[in-house]
Amino acid sequence: MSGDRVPLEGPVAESVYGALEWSKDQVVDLARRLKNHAVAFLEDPDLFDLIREERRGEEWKLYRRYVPGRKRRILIQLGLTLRSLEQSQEDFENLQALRGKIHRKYGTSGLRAAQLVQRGVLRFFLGRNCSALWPAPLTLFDLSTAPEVL
Amino acid sequence: MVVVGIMGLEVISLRTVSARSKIALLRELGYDTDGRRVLKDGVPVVDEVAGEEVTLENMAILPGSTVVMVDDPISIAAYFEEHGDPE
Repeated sequence: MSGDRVPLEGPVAESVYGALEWSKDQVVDLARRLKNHAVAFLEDPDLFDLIREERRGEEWKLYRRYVPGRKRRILIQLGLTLRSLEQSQEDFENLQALRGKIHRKYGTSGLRAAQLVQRGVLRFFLGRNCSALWPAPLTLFDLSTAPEVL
Repeated sequence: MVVVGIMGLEVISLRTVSARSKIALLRELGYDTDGRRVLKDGVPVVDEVAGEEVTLENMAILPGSTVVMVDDPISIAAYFEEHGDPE
Protein backbone atom coordinates (compact mmCIF):
# COMPACT_ATOMS: atom_id res chain seq x y z
CA MET A 1 0.00 0.00 0.00
CA SER A 2 2.32 2.56 -1.25
CA GLY A 3 2.26 5.36 -3.73
CA ASP A 4 5.17 3.59 -5.42
CA ARG A 5 2.63 1.13 -6.75
CA VAL A 6 0.71 3.73 -8.70
CA PRO A 7 0.39 1.95 -12.05
CA LEU A 8 0.22 4.98 -14.30
CA GLU A 9 3.05 7.33 -15.02
CA GLY A 10 3.85 10.06 -17.53
CA PRO A 11 1.41 11.26 -20.21
CA VAL A 12 -0.99 8.38 -19.64
CA ALA A 13 -1.29 9.24 -15.95
CA GLU A 14 -1.75 12.90 -16.81
CA SER A 15 -4.62 12.05 -19.13
CA VAL A 16 -6.33 10.14 -16.33
CA TYR A 17 -5.44 12.24 -13.32
CA GLY A 18 -4.26 15.62 -14.58
CA ALA A 19 -0.84 17.18 -14.44
CA LEU A 20 -1.12 19.67 -11.60
CA GLU A 21 1.54 19.02 -8.98
CA TRP A 22 1.45 20.34 -5.43
CA SER A 23 4.62 20.94 -3.46
CA LYS A 24 5.03 19.43 0.00
CA ASP A 25 4.32 22.82 1.56
CA GLN A 26 1.18 23.22 -0.54
CA VAL A 27 -0.07 19.80 0.53
CA VAL A 28 0.49 20.63 4.20
CA ASP A 29 -1.29 23.96 3.74
CA LEU A 30 -4.24 22.37 1.90
CA ALA A 31 -4.63 19.75 4.64
CA ARG A 32 -4.60 22.48 7.26
CA ARG A 33 -7.23 24.46 5.37
CA LEU A 34 -9.39 21.36 5.02
CA LYS A 35 -9.29 20.83 8.77
CA ASN A 36 -10.29 24.48 9.19
CA HIS A 37 -13.34 23.92 6.94
CA ALA A 38 -11.95 26.35 4.38
CA VAL A 39 -11.54 24.03 1.40
CA ALA A 40 -13.04 20.93 -0.20
CA PHE A 41 -11.73 18.64 -2.96
CA LEU A 42 -13.98 17.12 -5.59
CA GLU A 43 -13.73 15.55 -9.01
CA ASP A 44 -16.79 17.53 -10.12
CA PRO A 45 -16.97 20.86 -8.28
CA ASP A 46 -19.80 22.05 -10.53
CA LEU A 47 -22.21 19.43 -9.21
CA PHE A 48 -21.18 20.11 -5.63
CA ASP A 49 -21.79 23.83 -6.13
CA LEU A 50 -25.12 23.13 -7.82
CA ILE A 51 -26.34 21.15 -4.81
CA ARG A 52 -24.96 23.73 -2.41
CA GLU A 53 -26.71 26.51 -4.33
CA GLU A 54 -30.01 24.64 -4.19
CA ARG A 55 -29.69 24.40 -0.42
CA ARG A 56 -29.57 28.16 -0.23
CA GLY A 57 -32.88 28.52 -2.08
CA GLU A 58 -36.25 29.30 -0.56
CA GLU A 59 -37.76 26.07 -1.85
CA TRP A 60 -35.21 23.98 0.00
CA LYS A 61 -35.68 26.02 3.17
CA LEU A 62 -39.40 25.28 2.99
CA TYR A 63 -38.80 21.55 2.66
CA ARG A 64 -36.20 21.56 5.42
CA ARG A 65 -38.70 23.19 7.72
CA TYR A 66 -41.68 20.97 7.01
CA VAL A 67 -40.38 17.61 5.78
CA PRO A 68 -39.14 15.27 8.49
CA GLY A 69 -36.71 12.43 7.92
CA ARG A 70 -33.23 12.25 6.46
CA LYS A 71 -34.13 9.94 3.60
CA ARG A 72 -37.00 12.13 2.51
CA ARG A 73 -34.85 15.23 2.57
CA ILE A 74 -32.10 13.52 0.58
CA LEU A 75 -34.62 12.47 -2.04
CA ILE A 76 -35.99 15.99 -2.14
CA GLN A 77 -32.48 17.30 -2.60
CA LEU A 78 -31.93 14.84 -5.44
CA GLY A 79 -35.23 15.88 -7.00
CA LEU A 80 -34.06 19.48 -7.00
CA THR A 81 -30.82 18.39 -8.62
CA LEU A 82 -32.73 16.46 -11.30
CA ARG A 83 -34.69 19.63 -12.04
CA SER A 84 -31.53 21.72 -12.34
CA LEU A 85 -29.87 19.18 -14.61
CA GLU A 86 -33.00 18.93 -16.75
CA GLN A 87 -32.87 22.66 -17.38
CA SER A 88 -29.43 22.35 -18.92
CA GLN A 89 -29.25 20.44 -22.20
CA GLU A 90 -25.54 19.94 -21.62
CA ASP A 91 -26.26 17.93 -18.49
CA PHE A 92 -28.47 15.30 -20.13
CA GLU A 93 -25.97 12.53 -19.46
CA ASN A 94 -25.65 13.57 -15.82
CA LEU A 95 -29.44 13.68 -15.58
CA GLN A 96 -29.78 10.14 -16.87
CA ALA A 97 -26.94 8.95 -14.67
CA LEU A 98 -28.50 10.46 -11.56
CA ARG A 99 -31.88 8.91 -12.36
CA GLY A 100 -30.18 5.55 -12.60
CA LYS A 101 -28.34 6.03 -9.31
CA ILE A 102 -31.52 7.05 -7.49
CA HIS A 103 -33.33 4.03 -8.88
CA ARG A 104 -30.55 1.65 -7.85
CA LYS A 105 -30.34 3.13 -4.39
CA TYR A 106 -33.98 3.82 -3.53
CA GLY A 107 -35.94 1.76 -6.03
CA THR A 108 -38.89 2.83 -8.13
CA SER A 109 -40.70 4.52 -5.24
CA GLY A 110 -37.63 6.62 -4.42
CA LEU A 111 -37.16 7.68 -8.02
CA ARG A 112 -40.82 8.62 -8.29
CA ALA A 113 -40.57 10.66 -5.11
CA ALA A 114 -37.55 12.55 -6.44
CA GLN A 115 -39.31 13.12 -9.75
CA LEU A 116 -42.35 14.55 -7.95
CA VAL A 117 -40.01 17.14 -6.51
CA GLN A 118 -38.41 17.60 -9.93
CA ARG A 119 -41.86 18.28 -11.44
CA GLY A 120 -42.82 20.69 -8.66
CA VAL A 121 -45.64 18.57 -7.22
CA LEU A 122 -44.46 18.79 -3.63
CA ARG A 123 -43.83 22.50 -4.03
CA PHE A 124 -47.41 22.87 -5.26
CA PHE A 125 -48.81 21.29 -2.12
CA LEU A 126 -46.60 23.29 0.19
CA GLY A 127 -47.05 26.51 -1.76
CA ARG A 128 -50.84 26.23 -1.72
CA ASN A 129 -50.77 25.49 1.99
CA CYS A 130 -53.08 22.56 1.45
CA SER A 131 -53.56 21.98 5.13
CA ALA A 132 -56.56 19.78 4.51
CA LEU A 133 -54.45 17.47 2.42
CA TRP A 134 -51.34 17.69 4.54
CA PRO A 135 -49.42 15.48 5.16
CA ALA A 136 -50.81 13.41 2.28
CA PRO A 137 -47.97 14.44 -0.05
CA LEU A 138 -45.51 12.91 2.34
CA THR A 139 -47.10 9.52 1.90
CA LEU A 140 -45.53 9.65 -1.53
CA PHE A 141 -42.24 9.49 0.29
CA ASP A 142 -43.00 6.31 2.15
CA LEU A 143 -39.65 4.60 1.89
CA SER A 144 -40.28 1.83 4.35
CA THR A 145 -38.92 -0.66 1.88
CA ALA A 146 -35.84 1.36 0.97
CA PRO A 147 -32.42 0.21 2.12
CA GLU A 148 -31.54 1.37 5.61
CA VAL A 149 -28.06 2.45 4.68
CA LEU A 150 -28.74 6.13 5.14
CA MET B 1 -8.51 24.67 -11.42
CA VAL B 2 -9.81 26.45 -8.35
CA VAL B 3 -13.45 27.38 -7.99
CA VAL B 4 -14.34 29.83 -5.28
CA GLY B 5 -17.68 28.59 -4.09
CA ILE B 6 -20.46 30.18 -2.15
CA MET B 7 -20.42 30.50 1.61
CA GLY B 8 -16.67 30.98 1.68
CA LEU B 9 -15.69 27.38 1.08
CA GLU B 10 -13.11 27.07 -1.65
CA VAL B 11 -13.75 24.06 -3.86
CA ILE B 12 -10.75 22.57 -5.64
CA SER B 13 -11.19 20.27 -8.62
CA LEU B 14 -9.21 17.05 -8.38
CA ARG B 15 -9.59 16.43 -12.12
CA THR B 16 -6.51 18.44 -12.92
CA VAL B 17 -4.40 17.16 -10.04
CA SER B 18 -1.72 14.52 -10.56
CA ALA B 19 -1.97 11.12 -8.91
CA ARG B 20 1.21 11.89 -6.99
CA SER B 21 -0.29 15.02 -5.46
CA LYS B 22 -3.57 13.26 -4.63
CA ILE B 23 -1.62 10.56 -2.83
CA ALA B 24 0.47 13.14 -0.97
CA LEU B 25 -2.70 14.86 0.24
CA LEU B 26 -4.27 11.57 1.29
CA ARG B 27 -1.17 10.66 3.29
CA GLU B 28 -1.10 14.06 4.94
CA LEU B 29 -4.68 13.37 6.04
CA GLY B 30 -3.85 9.91 7.40
CA TYR B 31 -4.99 7.84 4.44
CA ASP B 32 -3.08 5.77 1.90
CA THR B 33 -3.63 4.01 -1.42
CA ASP B 34 -2.80 0.75 -3.12
CA GLY B 35 -2.44 2.60 -6.39
CA ARG B 36 -6.15 2.72 -7.14
CA ARG B 37 -8.23 2.43 -3.97
CA VAL B 38 -8.09 4.76 -0.99
CA LEU B 39 -7.10 2.97 2.21
CA LYS B 40 -7.48 3.76 5.89
CA ASP B 41 -5.38 1.64 8.23
CA GLY B 42 -4.73 -0.69 5.29
CA VAL B 43 -8.43 -1.24 4.61
CA PRO B 44 -10.20 0.07 1.49
CA VAL B 45 -12.48 2.99 2.28
CA VAL B 46 -16.05 2.27 1.25
CA ASP B 47 -18.62 5.00 0.76
CA GLU B 48 -21.60 3.37 2.45
CA VAL B 49 -24.05 5.78 0.86
CA ALA B 50 -22.85 5.20 -2.70
CA GLY B 51 -22.05 1.56 -2.00
CA GLU B 52 -18.69 1.90 -3.74
CA GLU B 53 -15.03 1.80 -2.85
CA VAL B 54 -13.37 5.19 -2.89
CA THR B 55 -10.64 5.41 -5.52
CA LEU B 56 -8.19 8.02 -6.74
CA GLU B 57 -10.53 8.67 -9.67
CA ASN B 58 -13.84 9.09 -7.84
CA MET B 59 -12.92 10.54 -4.46
CA ALA B 60 -14.13 13.66 -2.75
CA ILE B 61 -12.54 15.07 0.40
CA LEU B 62 -14.78 17.31 2.44
CA PRO B 63 -14.46 19.15 5.76
CA GLY B 64 -15.87 17.59 8.88
CA SER B 65 -13.50 15.14 10.52
CA THR B 66 -12.00 14.73 7.02
CA VAL B 67 -14.72 13.00 5.06
CA VAL B 68 -13.35 10.92 2.20
CA MET B 69 -16.13 9.62 0.00
CA VAL B 70 -17.23 9.00 -3.55
CA ASP B 71 -17.91 12.17 -5.52
CA ASP B 72 -21.54 11.35 -6.22
CA PRO B 73 -24.75 13.41 -5.93
CA ILE B 74 -26.31 11.02 -3.44
CA SER B 75 -23.20 11.05 -1.24
CA ILE B 76 -23.02 14.84 -1.43
CA ALA B 77 -26.70 15.18 -0.51
CA ALA B 78 -26.14 12.82 2.43
CA TYR B 79 -23.05 14.79 3.45
CA PHE B 80 -24.99 18.04 3.58
CA GLU B 81 -27.74 16.33 5.53
CA GLU B 82 -25.19 15.08 8.03
CA HIS B 83 -22.92 18.11 8.30
CA GLY B 84 -25.10 21.01 7.24
CA ASP B 85 -24.01 23.58 4.73
CA PRO B 86 -20.28 24.33 5.01
CA GLU B 87 -19.51 27.83 6.17
